[in-house]
Amino acid sequence: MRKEDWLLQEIDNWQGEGIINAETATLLQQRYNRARSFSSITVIFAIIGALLIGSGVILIMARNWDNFALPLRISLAYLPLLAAQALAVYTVRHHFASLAWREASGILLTAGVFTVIAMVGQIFHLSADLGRYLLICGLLSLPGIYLLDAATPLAVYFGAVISWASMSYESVNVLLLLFFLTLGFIYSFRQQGSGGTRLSYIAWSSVLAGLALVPLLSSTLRCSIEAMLLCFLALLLAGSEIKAYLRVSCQGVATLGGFITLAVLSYENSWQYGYDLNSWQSPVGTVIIALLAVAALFLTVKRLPLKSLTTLQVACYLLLATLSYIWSSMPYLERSGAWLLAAVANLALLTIGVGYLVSGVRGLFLRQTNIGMAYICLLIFMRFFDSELDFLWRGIVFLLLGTTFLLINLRLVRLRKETLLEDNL
Amino acid sequence: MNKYLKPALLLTIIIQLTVPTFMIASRYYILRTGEEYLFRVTPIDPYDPFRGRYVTLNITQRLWGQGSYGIIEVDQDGFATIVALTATKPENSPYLRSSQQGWFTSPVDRYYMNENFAPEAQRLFWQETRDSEKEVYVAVRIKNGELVISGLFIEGVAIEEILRK
Repeated sequence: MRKEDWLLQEIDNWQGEGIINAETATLLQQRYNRARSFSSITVIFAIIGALLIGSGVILIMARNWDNFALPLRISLAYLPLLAAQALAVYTVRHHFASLAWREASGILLTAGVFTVIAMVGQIFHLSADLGRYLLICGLLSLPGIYLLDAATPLAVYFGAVISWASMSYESVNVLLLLFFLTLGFIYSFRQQGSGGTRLSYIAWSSVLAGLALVPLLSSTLRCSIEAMLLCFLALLLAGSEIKAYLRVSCQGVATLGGFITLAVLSYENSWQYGYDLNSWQSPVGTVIIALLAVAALFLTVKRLPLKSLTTLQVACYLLLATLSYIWSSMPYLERSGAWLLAAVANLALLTIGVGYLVSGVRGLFLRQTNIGMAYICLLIFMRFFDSELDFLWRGIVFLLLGTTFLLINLRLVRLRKETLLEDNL
Repeated sequence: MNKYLKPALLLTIIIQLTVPTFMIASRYYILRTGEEYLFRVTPIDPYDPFRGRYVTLNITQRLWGQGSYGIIEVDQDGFATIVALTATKPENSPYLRSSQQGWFTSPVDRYYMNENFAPEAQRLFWQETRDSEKEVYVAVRIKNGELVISGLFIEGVAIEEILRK
């Protein structure tokens, strides 16, 4: 334990024993917390400095690389990994309580693995298989994430395995990727706490990795991308309440991603000319879509209030996902009524937009009100310039929308008056 | 601190060192004990984001098809070529194993060089081979179908040596 940590612990004890009062304790804590954060900055700067010096040495070595004998080149290839491993051992033994030490050691260990494998490949002129290289390095770095409890290598790991799967582009590999990614996700869900930059960073890495996985899975396994994406986004929304640090990333990605997907589906042509997966919709893909949908439904029923805005969003996403799946299974020539499905997507967008607006106005939440306004404005903008719709139909839709808005506004004004009257009484 | 942390870290360190060691040992073994073949090549100079600059090599002479094994034949000038592809491991003739399953992809596709030397090597290859019949070839060692490149040569002189002059 570092002396600052020991001292902070002691201050708590002194306060508990009545040696010092609360005011003095706060003053002392502020003073030594500052000292602690200063020492973390020192560590980070020291590691950046060490990285720069190491890079400089590597560049100078690279200049004379061809002049070195093979055994010397092989020995030098191990140096970055050995140094990073030594640092990892030192961190575990002496500075495990320090986040700065753990993160820095974790990223150095990852860099060490990537470096040694790259150098071996370079020394022996190994053939080009960037995907396999990334996979080997990603998997070798994986234990460091758990052992050093470090978040930065997690993002590198996600990037490595997703790149491998996108390069190899085989269904077996993509299913393996699903397994490998799960190993990373387990780490992110193990994390405790209610906030903090680090937890938010872990959540963002995991959510974005999951999002990148959806197009890969749907294209490789041959199943409806819209259905899989909407089920995944519904799961994000439903799961956003599991842990506090997941909320911002899950809701942000699910709201924006959902809007974009529904906006695409709001055009008749996107249904009419969408993929025909009638003869080759994969059973594995279907199972994955079903699992995502069931998980989203389960979490919604278990954790969300029935009348909440999130429940409304999840319901809209799952409805459109089901329609997308059924539609993509229909033979191309037998398709009719694409306009109806586009109308459902428009209605879903409108419902979510109005839901945000009403919820925002009622609870005086500016963010929700703005999201609702953005939803509705973008929907109006898309339909106004939608050449697939006849002028007459567009006119009728706008008249209906305008009337609905005026009615909602009237209702809100009445509600407000009633609330004011109740307050005065 | 978790009591399994230190043994787990030790195990991780061992695995992280074992993988590159195995890669090195298997290639070193082929370099020591493999049979040498010379393949004519046409090099070009691209870039690998992780491993640096290299010269792309092609030894298959536009040989396409199914089969993971390429059968090698040596002509009267001493240069090897892949003459046929087969799905099963050849018993009586030298062969090269594909770097991919199912179809043949040459395991000889790159020769890493110094950042400054690779573009110069590229220029040299074109200059030397444009007007003359100079041979550009790669020397490899092959053992049980596995291959390791031992050098890139123009008329018998290593490319690094030519560039150093």
